[in-house]
Amino acid sequence: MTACERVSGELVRVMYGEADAASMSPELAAHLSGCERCAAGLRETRGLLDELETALRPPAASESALRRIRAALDSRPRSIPIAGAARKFAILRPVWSMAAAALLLLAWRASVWPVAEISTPAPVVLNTAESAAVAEALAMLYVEDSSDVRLEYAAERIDSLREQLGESGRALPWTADDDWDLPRPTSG
Amino acid sequence: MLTSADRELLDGLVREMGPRLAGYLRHSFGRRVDVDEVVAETFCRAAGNIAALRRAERKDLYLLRVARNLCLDSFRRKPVELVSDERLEAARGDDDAPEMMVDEERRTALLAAVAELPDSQREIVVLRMSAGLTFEEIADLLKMPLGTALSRMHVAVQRLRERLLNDEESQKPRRAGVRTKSV
Ligand SMILES: [Zn+2]
Repeated sequence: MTACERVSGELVRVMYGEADAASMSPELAAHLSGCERCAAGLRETRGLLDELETALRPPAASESALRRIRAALDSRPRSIPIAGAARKFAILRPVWSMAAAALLLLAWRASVWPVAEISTPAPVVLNTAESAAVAEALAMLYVEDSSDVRLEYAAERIDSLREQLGESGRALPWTADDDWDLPRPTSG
Repeated sequence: MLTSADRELLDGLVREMGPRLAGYLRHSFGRRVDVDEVVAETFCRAAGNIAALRRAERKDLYLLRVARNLCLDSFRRKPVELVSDERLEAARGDDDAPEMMVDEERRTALLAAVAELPDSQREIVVLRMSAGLTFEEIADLLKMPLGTALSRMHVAVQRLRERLLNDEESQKPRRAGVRTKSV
């Protein structure tokens, strides 16, 4: 381990204000006075953070934006928000325009719903709400332009669904880490 | 039904958190969301579940969480709908800060570099530098260990530093490394 590596943990905390620069360890202080590379890293990072703070500073509240929010508050119907995936799904389903998502939903339904004419080896029986929640989480993995944030979110959803289903002895056959092939319908 | 106290609470939050939410959304999700619409809807959701808002110890984090979930949901709903450039420009026009620590050129380069960061890094940079959250709050909001939030921030910022240095070197070799101000 080099001298730079030895102090890097504390240096990073100091850089981002998680540790107080005024009370840094003697080891780090000594290193910074002898190592121009680390000292420049700290200096330049601090400078960049100041610039970022200015560049990203939220705009002052504009009257028109505030009016828009207040108007929305006055006029929109209020529903209990985010009251479970099933409810959200029920709301969103009519506006889904993505063929892939719709196909996926059908495929998933066909593979997990206990429909008589479909034979799956050991179907995981889900109620409507659970089925919708799983389809919703899966669909998020399949939209184009997948972003890290969305994938993480979908993985979180799937993990929590697995947990929830596991509590009642129903093992979802996939995990968020699986290679996500579309579940295939077992009938034509 | 909202009581007058609820109304007052919401009104205060609209004023205080509206711009912060807008800044977070604009810089984190850019053109992928209609920022004003998400902000308005965030407050409507909060009004619809006013008990939860009242209960929330940190109302700013609560609202950020609602806004974030709305965005993630909207990606699924309309993944490729973009806000027009004109609209984005109009939105940008709002935030002409009177004092300019960085010149406009540099600011544009910074914002472009931030926009190019991977989602998972950019969001942390924005939550820290724009929404002003601590790393502990970021870790809580994004459900990750504090160390992960800090290290992603570090990776992101070093990437920005490198990127901006390269930009300067390729465009204006004589000004490399020197922060310039427009006259
Ligand atoms: Zn060093």
